[in-house]
Amino acid sequence: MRAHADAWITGGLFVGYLALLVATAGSLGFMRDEGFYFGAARAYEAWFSLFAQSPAEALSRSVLDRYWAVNHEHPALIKSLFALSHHFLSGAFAEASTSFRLPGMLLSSLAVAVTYDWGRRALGRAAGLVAALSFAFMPRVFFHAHLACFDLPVCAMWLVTSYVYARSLEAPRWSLALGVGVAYGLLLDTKHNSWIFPFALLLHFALTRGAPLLGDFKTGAKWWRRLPLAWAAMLLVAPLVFCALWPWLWHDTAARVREYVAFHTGHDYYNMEFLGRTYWRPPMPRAYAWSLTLATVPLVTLLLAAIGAVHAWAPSRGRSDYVLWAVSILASYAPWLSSSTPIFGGTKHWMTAYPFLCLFAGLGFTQVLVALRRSWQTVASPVLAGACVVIGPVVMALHAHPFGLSAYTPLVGGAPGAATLGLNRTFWGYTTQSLAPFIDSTAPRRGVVYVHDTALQSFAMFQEDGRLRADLRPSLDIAASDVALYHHEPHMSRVEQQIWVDYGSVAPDAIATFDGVPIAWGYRRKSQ
Amino acid sequence: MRRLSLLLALVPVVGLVELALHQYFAARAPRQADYAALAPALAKLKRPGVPVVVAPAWAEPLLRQAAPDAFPLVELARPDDSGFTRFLEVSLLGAVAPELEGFATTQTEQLGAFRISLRENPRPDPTRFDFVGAVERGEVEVLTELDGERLPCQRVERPRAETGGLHGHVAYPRSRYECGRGRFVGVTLIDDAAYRPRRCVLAQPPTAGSVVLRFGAVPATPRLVGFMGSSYFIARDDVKPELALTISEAADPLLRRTAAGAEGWIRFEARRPAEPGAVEVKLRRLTTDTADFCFSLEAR
Repeated sequence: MRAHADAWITGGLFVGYLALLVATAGSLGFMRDEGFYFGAARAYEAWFSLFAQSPAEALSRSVLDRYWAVNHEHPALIKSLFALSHHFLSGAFAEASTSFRLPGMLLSSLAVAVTYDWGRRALGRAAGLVAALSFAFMPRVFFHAHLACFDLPVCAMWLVTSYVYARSLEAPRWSLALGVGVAYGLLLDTKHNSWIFPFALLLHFALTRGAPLLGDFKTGAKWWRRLPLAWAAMLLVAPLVFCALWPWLWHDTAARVREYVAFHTGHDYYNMEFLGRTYWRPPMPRAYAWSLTLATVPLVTLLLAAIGAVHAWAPSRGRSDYVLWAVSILASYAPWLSSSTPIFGGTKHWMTAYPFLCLFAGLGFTQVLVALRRSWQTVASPVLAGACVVIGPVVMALHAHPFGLSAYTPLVGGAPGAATLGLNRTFWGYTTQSLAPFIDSTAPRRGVVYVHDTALQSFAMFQEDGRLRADLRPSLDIAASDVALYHHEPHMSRVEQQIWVDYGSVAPDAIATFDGVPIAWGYRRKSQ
Repeated sequence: MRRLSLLLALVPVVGLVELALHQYFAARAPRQADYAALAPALAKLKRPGVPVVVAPAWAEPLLRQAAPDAFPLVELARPDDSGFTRFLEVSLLGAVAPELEGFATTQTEQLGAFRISLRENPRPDPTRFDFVGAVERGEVEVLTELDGERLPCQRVERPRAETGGLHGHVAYPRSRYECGRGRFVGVTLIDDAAYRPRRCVLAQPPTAGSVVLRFGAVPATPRLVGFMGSSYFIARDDVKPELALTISEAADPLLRRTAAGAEGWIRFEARRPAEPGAVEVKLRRLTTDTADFCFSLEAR
């Protein structure tokens, strides 16, 4: 009966979160990167169609390369899911973009459900719920969960792989080990955060089984029997899954894997504002990741996580799960211990840590409940206490929509406080959607719109979905435009300055604001 | 132990306090209607030559939208603050403009969510003659100099400016002096090291030789104060000197300064002779792939 109820809760969280994401997707504009992934997904979709009609032709090297070269700096799994979802489900939604975004939403919902399930197994139902809802309604997580991007998918795949791995340690069976291998292959095929995952497992192994293994080694006992079965599957199965699901690697595999690795290890340094300074080359600020976490994750979640981590730290409680959660957090943040790691994507880089942070929050919540029962036994209600710790994140996440990248917690004074501190206000050019009424009402027929940071493919999706007039022509040339958009980042000020010179005006005609802070604005050309 | 239990038991209250603070901060900043309501009062207080400074700076676009006349480009993209005697500070959320630190407040008025203050520059260094404005008005001769021979550049009005977008060149103005081979001299804006706008004369010297700007009617003042630089976003990695600027008056050399993009918006100063004469600004490339450099100059 209890297991039945938990299955319903898990399913309810999955379906409920998915429904909320689908219901709110229409008001969220398209990110710059989404535009590129829409384009890639369309190319892959075309290949899938060709494969269905003419497999031999589709599998020839020249054809494979033609279709799969598009956006080959990122693995293909998630974009393939975008493609298949669009192919089969584009008619199921009011907007075509929702079908592209659906796989990301499904994986985000899966992450919420798995967070609950792991939390429930390890800590109990109330803690599992607090963990799952705290994760689901981190404002930045809620934002990224909508997108046809890889950041929540990789977060979900890391969590799922960890979960299966933890289960495989509890019950060392080949079926579970194989599951870890497959899951890690999918994680590898999602995003390059996956490269760090084995280091987390090695650290976990050293902390939980290192001492007995060392003892075996010294005594000459069969030490290798202590190695997890899952490692073998990760070594043997995962690379096969990775290559099998990424057709770009079917030819010239070694060279193309090298190229993929080189792209990300030598990635360009894009600009990012932090505390009033724009960073565009190393050294990057080492405090960035931790500071941004403090500024964007609700304080109550952080506080609960800190309580949970302290509780888990006690030597008598060295549970394998807790250690796995902790090393996943540390591994997710580890790249930003180096001042040469780029910071251009803000919080999305280390979101793989967040489900585990929330599991610790769930653990912290169990301690809060214990304390409540000790202090105020008569009024101590898990439901009431749980509501108190998740209502803030829920309100903040829903309030931030669709300005998720502009959302900051009260710790820094919300969006106005963050703007005053010089924290990044927006990036990715998605706030064009907030200026859509201005653009549609202002631009002349077949007018030219300077799109600034919005990718041309994203602008096309705005039009395909009917969010912008179909007759408008997007452009990257201010001088050719009738309407010019500007998405604010300090280093992009020169774009606005060019608009001032060309349009002869410094007064924006429309400004999209979040909590009173200007995020993006538009100019209308008044004279030729 | 009991105290720890009590503290832990208060965590749900922290959640509610955080929610209350969220609601407070979300509603705290003025909305666009508040800026619109402020505009008429600001128009009455604004005087020519008294730039408006908004604190915090992120609110400036909202005020520019509501009260565009309060932000003439010549003030908004001023070369620096030292040339102005007074500033009109519009403050919200209790913020103060860091650039006006040490400037005395002589008048203050609270208008709704805004505090408007007149701030006095303790060491004003007023501008007597603005060379950038002279270029804009056509009060300059622009020439190219090659092997001692000077050729005039023609002032033209193009239908539109040219713009490079995010990664391209700064705006090339409609009104410009064209010097052949696509090179020109004209007034535009560049971004300084803080990405703030600076109004200046963009001068593209020929590959060999120089471009010369000759100003005939500069009033007598003790000094010339100038700035030069390239668009910081574009040229911030360029550390080698790329351009040499020389200034002479009545044929007497006053100053020579080189500039690299990474230096940002560089200030320079030169003493003038007692008897004023024609001022010549000459710019010469030091590299073959010199970025677009821009200068401002004032007689003070």
